[in-house]
This record gives sequence, C-alpha cells and structure tokens, in this order.
Amino acid sequence: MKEVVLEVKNLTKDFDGELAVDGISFGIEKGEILGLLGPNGAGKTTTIMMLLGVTKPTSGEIKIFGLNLATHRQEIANRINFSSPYISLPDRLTPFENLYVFAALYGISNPRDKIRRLLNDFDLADMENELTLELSSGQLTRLNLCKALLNDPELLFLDEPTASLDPEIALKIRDLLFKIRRETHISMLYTSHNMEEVSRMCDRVIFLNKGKIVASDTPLNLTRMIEDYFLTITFDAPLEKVKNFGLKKKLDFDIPQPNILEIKIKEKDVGPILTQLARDGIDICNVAIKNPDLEDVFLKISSTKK
Amino acid sequence: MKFSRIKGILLQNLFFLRHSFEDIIDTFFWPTMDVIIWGFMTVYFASLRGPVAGVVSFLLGGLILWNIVWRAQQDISFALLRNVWDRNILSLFASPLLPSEFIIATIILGFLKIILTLSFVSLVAYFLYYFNIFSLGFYLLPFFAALIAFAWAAGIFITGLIIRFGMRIQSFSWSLIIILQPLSAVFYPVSVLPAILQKVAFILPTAHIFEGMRQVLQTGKISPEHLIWATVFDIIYLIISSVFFAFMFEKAKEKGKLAKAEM
Repeated sequence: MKEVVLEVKNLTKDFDGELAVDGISFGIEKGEILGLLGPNGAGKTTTIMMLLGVTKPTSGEIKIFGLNLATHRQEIANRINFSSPYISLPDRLTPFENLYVFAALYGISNPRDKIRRLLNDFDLADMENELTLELSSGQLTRLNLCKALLNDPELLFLDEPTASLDPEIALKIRDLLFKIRRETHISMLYTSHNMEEVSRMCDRVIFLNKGKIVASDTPLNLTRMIEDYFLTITFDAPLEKVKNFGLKKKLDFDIPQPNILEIKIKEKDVGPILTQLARDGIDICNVAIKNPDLEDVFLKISSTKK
Repeated sequence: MKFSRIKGILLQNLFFLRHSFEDIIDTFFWPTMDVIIWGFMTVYFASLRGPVAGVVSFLLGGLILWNIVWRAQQDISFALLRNVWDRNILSLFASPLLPSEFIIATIILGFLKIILTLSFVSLVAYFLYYFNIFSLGFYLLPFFAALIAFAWAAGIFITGLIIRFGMRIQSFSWSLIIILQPLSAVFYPVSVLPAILQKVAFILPTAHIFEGMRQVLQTGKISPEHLIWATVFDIIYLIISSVFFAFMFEKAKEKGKLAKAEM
C-alpha cells in the first residue's frame, strides 16, 4: 500500500450560514496527481485554501504527511507549496528578487543556483532582472510556478496552472510537471477548466458540486458514466429522407446543415444505425464518432445536480 | 520563530526601496523638505524677540515629532498593505511565515528606516543650519524611543484591522492615528483639555511624551514621572495591539479573508 500524503476527513466550511464545503473526505497517495473539478462556486478554492492553512475549517480534519495541519502548520508549510494564476508577486521587484524573498521564507540556503535553474526551466531566464510588472500574464503564471517549486515540495496544489499560457508553453509545463513527478514522486492536487488536460494529467478525479463530492474515480471510469456517443454523419441524400429515417427510428438527432446529421446514441447502437442508414439508401460520405470525455461528465454532473 | 523568514520580509522591503521611487521619497525627500522648511521658519522666529520665539519652537518641535509618529506607524501598516496591493498576501501566509515574524520584521524595518532617515536629516540640518540635533540633550532620547514604541503599537493595531477588514479600510493607515493627535498634547499642554479629556489623555503615552519633552526643553531636566507612565502605557499598548493582531489574523482565517487575493 502506498504512503498517503494527504488525508481529509469530513471537511466542512461554513461562511456565516453558507456551506462552501460540506463534509468532504478524500486522500492523495505519494506520487499521485488528483484532479479537483467542479463548476464555479463548487468549493474547490475553499478546499485548497483550507489545505494550505490560510482558511480555517469549520469542522473536519486535515492530515498532511501524517501530521495534523491545525497543530503542525509550520512543519507542513515547509514541505508543500501552491500556484494560482489569481495571485501575483510584488510587481516592483524583479523575478529573481521575488524568488529570493520566498527562498528565505522557505529557509532555502544558497538559493541563487536553484532560482536560476527554475527560471531557465520555465523560460524566464531573460526576464530575471526585469521588473515583474514587465511580465506578460503567461510569464507571471510561470513565475508563480517557479515559486511553487522553489522548496522542492512533496505536495503541490496547482490551481489552473496552465491558464493564460499558450498551447506550446502549456504542453511544456505539463511535461515538466510529469518529469518532476517521475524524478521526485511529488503528489499534486490539480484544478483546471481544461478537461483534456485533467484527463492527461490526473490519476484520479474528484468532482465537487455545492461543496460535496459527487463523483470520484479515474478519468476513464468517470467517462464510462456517460453512455451516449455523438455520431456526426456527412450524407448525400434528400434531406426529407434523412429526417424521416431519424423520426422512424426515434433517434435523438439534429441536422445542423443540409448534409450533416448528428445523432446522440448508445455505444452498442452505433454499428446497427450506420448499417440501416446504408440499407435505406442514404449515402454516407463521412462518419465521426466522439467518445464521451470528462467535459461531458462535468456537464452532466453540473446539470443534474442543479 | 526563524530569522531566515524575518530576513525574507526585510529583504522584500529592501528590494522595494531599491526599485520604488515612492519609498525613496518617503525615506529621504519628505523628511528633508520638513527640515528645510521648518529650519527656515525656526531661523526666522529665532530672530524675533520675546516669548513668541520660544512658543514657536515648541510648536515646530511638536509638529516634527508628531510627523515621526505618523511615519513610523505607516511603515508598519504599509509593509502589509504593499503585499495586499500586489496580491501577494496569500503566498506570504501560505508559506511557513508566522504573523509574529512578519510583525517583527516590519518593526526592525521601521527602526532601520528611522535611523536612516534621522541620520540623513541630522546631516542636512547640520550642513544647512549648523544645527546639532544632539544639542537638544540626550534626555530627549528616551522620550523619542517611547514615541516610536507607541507608533509601532498603533501600526500593529491598524495592521490587524486591515488584515481582518481588507482594503476597504486601508485609509486607516494614514488617518486613524490623527484621532489621537488632539488628546496627545502635541502643541499645547494637557491642562488646556477639558477635565474628562485630561483623564483620557493620561492613558495615552503620547501625551506623557510631549509633556515630558516640553519639560526637558524648558528646564533641561528629565521628568521621570512622564517617562515612566509613557513606558508603562507603551508596554500595555504593545501587548494589546499584538494580541489584537493575532486575534484579527485568526478571524481573517476564519472568514477566508487571506484566501482572497485582493482582500
């Protein structure tokens, strides 16, 4: 059995009668990346803030590295870190100076080489001595990630780490995070609105809605919750004929363009429907099948729990 | 408590000073301008004969010293406010930094800044007016120290308010202490206040400090009574403001205020 680095039991946060987090329990194993998903206001940020020790839980218990956060915050804070695009760093200091300050706060001795290596890894070496206010939002996100990795954390909270990054840099950051995980067995709690990214990054995903955990599993198992596949068929046949086919078979369909048929269908029915279309003399020029993904799970959970 | 974390906050403020024109202005320019303007006025009033000259010296002395209280208090509050404005509070307090380490760092910083400012201003006063600040007498130094201690207590109290209630009350940093000015007997003796306000003034270290300073300037002798009361109340207010700050910090954590980047 793997070592558990984070253990949350019945965690609740009530802001003056408004329940932001409602008795959630979960854990993260060493080296695991856990995705925390949910619509706005689901309680993701409040949960992360309680795990960082900057928001006091109303009730419940948080254990990190086997230590109670309420009584061992100092010890734990040295071994964790976080990054969020919604925070910043003093903009009249240079990136190097900002990281130097945090190196002192995390008690890192002789931090110069480490800071330079991180700035280099995140393509910020050229900006080392510019003022932070000169950085673009993408560069600022990367600087925050440098800050988050400064103390070689064993547990990292990443709140939308690739927001505001262009796709090429986002991919590089993901690769870098994977590399760090391979080398150090770091554990991560990861939030993102990019479901494809969560699918790729996370070993396991928790869905929060209205402060409660409504689903928890691997990305693959979660997508299995969705039985519907989306078929997009480009056809060459009279429109009425295609419409009548859909009505006759009682399909959940749409014809967004005169030669495009979209059908929401169960996986097992994909083959028979395509065969029947051909039998009815509807020429099929192209077929695209979209498998359910985490975004569909997200939309389903968000809509059913409202 | 770890020195490396206190050093971190000191370094941050040193870097601010290196890059921020406003900080340089605050540390050197305004105090220098004060010395130049009030120096000329003092030269003018010194040329007058009669009791006016002496009264004006008290007024000018009071004004300059009150300015020191105001700035020393601001140094404490601004160290926090800068991080609020820069959306850096969450990162600071999610790190191992303790609130007490932050406060100690800002007190050290305030002390260093006052030494720096005073040294510079003393040099300016000496070269412009051949005025040696130490000629006022070393008896003033304990009162001066008591004044700074009260400014820190006020700064810690106001910082506690800001951390709990956020930017909407940031103007307290430069305005709240003014409330105490009328009761602090900065420009007039406590005896001119109505009886009830004299009782309030008694519990203010500033009132004892300014009364004591006037006595030193008039008689050349220190008033132990005023100094003792000022020290006792300074200690009480430093303890109260520290407890208040710790309480407000916990309240802010309870309300989730620290988690809000812009508070």
